[in-house]
Amino acid sequence: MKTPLTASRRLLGLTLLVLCCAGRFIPAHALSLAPATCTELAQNGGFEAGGLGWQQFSAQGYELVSDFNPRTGSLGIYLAGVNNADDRLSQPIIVPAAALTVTLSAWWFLATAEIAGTFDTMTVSLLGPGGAPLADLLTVDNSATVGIWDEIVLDLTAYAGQTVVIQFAARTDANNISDFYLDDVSVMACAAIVTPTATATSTPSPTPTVTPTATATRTATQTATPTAPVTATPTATRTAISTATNGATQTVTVTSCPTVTPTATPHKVFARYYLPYLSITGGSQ
Amino acid sequence: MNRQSRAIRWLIASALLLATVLWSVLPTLAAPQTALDIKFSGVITAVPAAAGEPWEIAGQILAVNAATRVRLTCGPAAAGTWADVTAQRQADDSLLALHIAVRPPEVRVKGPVVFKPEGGIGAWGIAGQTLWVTAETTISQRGGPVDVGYWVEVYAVEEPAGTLTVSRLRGIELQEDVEVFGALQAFSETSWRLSSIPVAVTPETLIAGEPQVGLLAHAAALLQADGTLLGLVVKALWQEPNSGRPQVQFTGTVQSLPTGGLNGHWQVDGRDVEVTASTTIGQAKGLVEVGAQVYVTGWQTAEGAAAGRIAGVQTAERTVAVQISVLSSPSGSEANFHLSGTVEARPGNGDMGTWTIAGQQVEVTRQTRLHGAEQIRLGEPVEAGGLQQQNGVRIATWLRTRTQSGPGPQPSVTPQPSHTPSVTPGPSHTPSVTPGPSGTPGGPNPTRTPGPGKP
Repeated sequence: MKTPLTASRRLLGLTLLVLCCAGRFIPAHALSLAPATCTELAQNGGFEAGGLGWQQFSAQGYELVSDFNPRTGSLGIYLAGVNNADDRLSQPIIVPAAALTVTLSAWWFLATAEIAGTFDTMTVSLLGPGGAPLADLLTVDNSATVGIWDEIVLDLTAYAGQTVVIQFAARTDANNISDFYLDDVSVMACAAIVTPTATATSTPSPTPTVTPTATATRTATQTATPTAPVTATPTATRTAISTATNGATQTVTVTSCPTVTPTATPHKVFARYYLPYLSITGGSQ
Repeated sequence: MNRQSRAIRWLIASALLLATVLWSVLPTLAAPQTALDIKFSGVITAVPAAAGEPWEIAGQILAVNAATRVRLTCGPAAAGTWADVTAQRQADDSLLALHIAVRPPEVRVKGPVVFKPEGGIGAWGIAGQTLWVTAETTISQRGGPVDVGYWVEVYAVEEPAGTLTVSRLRGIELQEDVEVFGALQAFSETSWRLSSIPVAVTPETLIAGEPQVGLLAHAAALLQADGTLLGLVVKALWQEPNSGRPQVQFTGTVQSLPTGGLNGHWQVDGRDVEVTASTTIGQAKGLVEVGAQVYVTGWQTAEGAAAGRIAGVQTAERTVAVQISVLSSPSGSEANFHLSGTVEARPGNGDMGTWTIAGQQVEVTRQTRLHGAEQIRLGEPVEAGGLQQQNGVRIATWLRTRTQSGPGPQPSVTPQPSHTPSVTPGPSHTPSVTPGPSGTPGGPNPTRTPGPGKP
């Protein structure tokens, strides 16, 4: 049951959302985030425990968890890869009512024999607990850049207080096969105080400070009581979301790829911003 | 909470929100991305040692500023890794980076497996190249068998010695051309070298982009009988507006075609399109015919423009087509077919007509791309692909001689196998469904019918 947010909490949440989610436009030095209290809502988002927590459907009978092309670790998801594919992967998520921001993120990778047009797709959707469609959040297709991992970031804050099912569904047509690989799925619910500051003073570290913000401990501010197991699966390679200044000279900001296009307006696709020098030296596979 | 304090909170929050929006938009306004941006992909030569210092990618020095966006996709940025770049040329001719997307240095090859070692570990002959499969190589047969005579896509890493170590190997459908994607290491009028793979270039080869050592490049090529690659199209990933050979791509409807075949002048939405024997034409979605919707990529020619200006007449623009893909055609898209076998019968007069290949009748028409047709005789091994119409007639959209499978040259050095590579099998006979924690959110229940195997 959805717990209504107070007006002030909504505003704070909205502010936080804008601050966090408009990373495409925000220089890294412009913000200072107090330590966020975040909870990972997705179970086994890196798929290192195989299909645990996920429901798989493959019309042609394929095991979707695969070691063929994981982004991190040794396992990931392999959708389609054949003609006339209908593959779906889903997991129910209980979104805490008290969450100020809820962010679904995932990395995907395309291989395709298509040359042009849009014939093969992977859609990220939300379903109700019974499987009824709630919303198509995003569709990516065979026209995207091949051979490169790209991050999907979606705002699910509007679903605070609800139980929803996230679904990744891939479909291909009758010829020119496309493969959709998926890994490092995360649904992060956060409550944090954000303080914009024009004079950030932190110094980039030459070594990465990986900050998996996932935690198995729910915060005291949460009011929703989860009825399904919530297991934190911090991704070891996720880059820290933080800020730094590079002096007065230059800030390099790391964002996710802007090629993805939302299919529904209420669910804004946004980009993360990362510490430039942590990221440059800090990412790992 | 009384009404006054609530109003104050609203006011503060609104001001904060407004400031945030302005804050976020200003850098974008300062460096808007325009159609005049340069786009290229290349090997990172040097990453900045300190804040504000430039990057060096494909030999280009790239300045950065507060608006520059760097995206890591899978791993750190380091010299030797690859990057996709959007940049702006400054007044002093220097380049300012707008976006840098860092990607792993992964060479990709699509081609037939000509030989492979016992047990799978060791040197494989793929698309005329020797590639090394190790115990860490993962293999997927979902898209087709990974075996001698079948086509695969290889993801490989180039070792310092120039050898290619395969990280992933997956089966794919038979293709008309071999494809190579890698770093351009050398180029001349007769050859390009992409991540140690040589591709022969002839006057007929279509060259797109501005070649430069360190850029990433893509080649579509024919595998010759001697194992070498003959480039049909080689493309360096450098795109700069107002360059001497501006690249174009558009979707349009075919209005006219040459009479004798596909090579020659097409009219597509009023544009004059020149198709050569090297233009790659995808007909998997439908046949090339008048009324077909096609996607054309190529470059704009300046030929005739100067003469036209002098004569005071407007000259029609002409596009040299590098690649044409049929998106739909009036006769519809039927099932695809692929054939591999020997020629058992062929027309006695010319190439057009009914061929019999591996016991199957195939029609060669003006839509068929024939590669090496002069060498195709009875008993020759060939490969063909095309569309099968509803009446069962198979129209070949391409036909070429097939490189003989065989053990090929054995390498002098063999990596030590530890265990067989991981192989992802083809479909099982029942759909894979693992129950979720609640309900049936995955969609409708799967039908318990056997999954079709790949040919």
